Amino acid sequence: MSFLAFFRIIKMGFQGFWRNRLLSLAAVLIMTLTLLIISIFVALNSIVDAAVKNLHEKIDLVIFFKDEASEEEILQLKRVLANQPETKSITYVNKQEAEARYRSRYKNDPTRLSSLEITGNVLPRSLEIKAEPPEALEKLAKIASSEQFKDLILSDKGISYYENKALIEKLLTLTRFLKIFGILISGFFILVTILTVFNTIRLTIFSRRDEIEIMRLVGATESFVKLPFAIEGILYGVVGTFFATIAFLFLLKLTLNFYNHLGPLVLSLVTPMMSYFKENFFRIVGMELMIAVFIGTLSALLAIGRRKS
Amino acid sequence: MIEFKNINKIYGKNICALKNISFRIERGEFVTIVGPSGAGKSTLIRLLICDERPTSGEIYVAGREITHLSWRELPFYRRKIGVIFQDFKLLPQKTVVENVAFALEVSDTSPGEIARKVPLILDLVGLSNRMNNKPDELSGGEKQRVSIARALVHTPKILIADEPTGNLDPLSTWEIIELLFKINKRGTTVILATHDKEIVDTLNKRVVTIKNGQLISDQEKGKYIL
Repeated sequence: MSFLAFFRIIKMGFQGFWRNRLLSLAAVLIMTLTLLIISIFVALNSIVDAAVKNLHEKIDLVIFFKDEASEEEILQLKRVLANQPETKSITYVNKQEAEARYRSRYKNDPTRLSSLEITGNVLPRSLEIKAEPPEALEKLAKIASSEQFKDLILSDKGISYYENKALIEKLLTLTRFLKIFGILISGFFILVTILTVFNTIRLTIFSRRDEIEIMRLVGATESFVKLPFAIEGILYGVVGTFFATIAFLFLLKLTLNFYNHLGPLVLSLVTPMMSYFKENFFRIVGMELMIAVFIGTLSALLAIGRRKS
Repeated sequence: MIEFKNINKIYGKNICALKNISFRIERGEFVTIVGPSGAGKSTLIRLLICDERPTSGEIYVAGREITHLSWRELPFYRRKIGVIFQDFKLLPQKTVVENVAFALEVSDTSPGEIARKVPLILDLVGLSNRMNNKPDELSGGEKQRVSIARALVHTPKILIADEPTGNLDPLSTWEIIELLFKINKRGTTVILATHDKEIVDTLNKRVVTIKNGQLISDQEKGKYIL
């Protein structure tokens, strides 16, 4: 294709966009709404992600040891557990550390603190383990309770996992459900809106089928017929992204203005979303632009279709 | 120049639009194709501009068989023929100049060449004073003249006119027929499909008559016989 033809195609694309501005406006508005809905669902997913992460952080395994167990034996178990690929972090808490934590935790509870004075430091040493995925904690708990190590561990409530098993499993099921549900709902709405954009652009171009017929009649090649419409599709995408970004920024600002009036629960959910969008602003706009341009171009090209014979 | 050889066109299973049509048109001729509505005139024109393909038979234009042109070859064939229609088929958002220039733009003609050719052709059809108007600001006759200018701007050897006066008042009709005559005198082969008896009888040119998809008469200096 010559430079002249390329220039003319670009010009015709812009002309078509401007001269059919009512149709273009309809396509751009639908595109804007689509992108806005995609942004909102990305935001909601980031909230679900943050909530899931938060819950996972809270799930851990603590192993309490008998006073008779030697430190060497405990550290050997620590090494075995640390070598498991699922182990994310493992901390040894000795008696002094346990006491320090106890004192800090109950610093406003003189009864509990005084009990420590009477009995002396009876707090057990422990290993605190976090795993990724949290489901692997069961495997780690099994290693700890194996024949080799079970005598080191307090027989009563020595491994927290077995105490909290039911609760942990409930939490894990809930987070799995939240993630899958979030993806399914977002996917569904994104699909619906993309189909709407596709259909709007199809109708826009269908209403100009006479123009396409005339172009073919006067001897325009297929690329000369189709590419100006593809340019228009790209313009729908670019302008749509521009408006969607402005609308989303406006929504964010609106939320920020009400920041202080939000309850603590909403606040804890909105804050990670805000920081997510601040950190990833250009990536999100870039992604939206790519999606919009892709849908715009593809819809336009599919709508024109092949010639009759 | 143009030869139809045993052309048949069947729509669906048994709607026969053209039956075994064969005739030749020589270079520089003015041929009127006549027939009542639904006789098959427009089908014949659509086959000639490759908007449809015949069910069987061959069509030769300037020695080349055109019924099997690929979609890549088609635009280049279309640039060699000029076509005008009853409904003008103008781009409503483009001005007169832009509508005519458009036919040249799609064929990669330079802006200088376009600026030189378009005013000349608009002068030929008598629209020099309407260059910057849009189609909805023109009369029917003027619209058809824009359409003729667009068809001629490639300087085609053949001009095909499918009921070009069907939407026009009597005065505009004769202006268009005179214009077609003028174009034919300059050496362009003109094929005019019409069912207007008055035009056919006044022209006194070759008349090919089609009825129910069949060629029923082909006369030099013919009259409307239906």
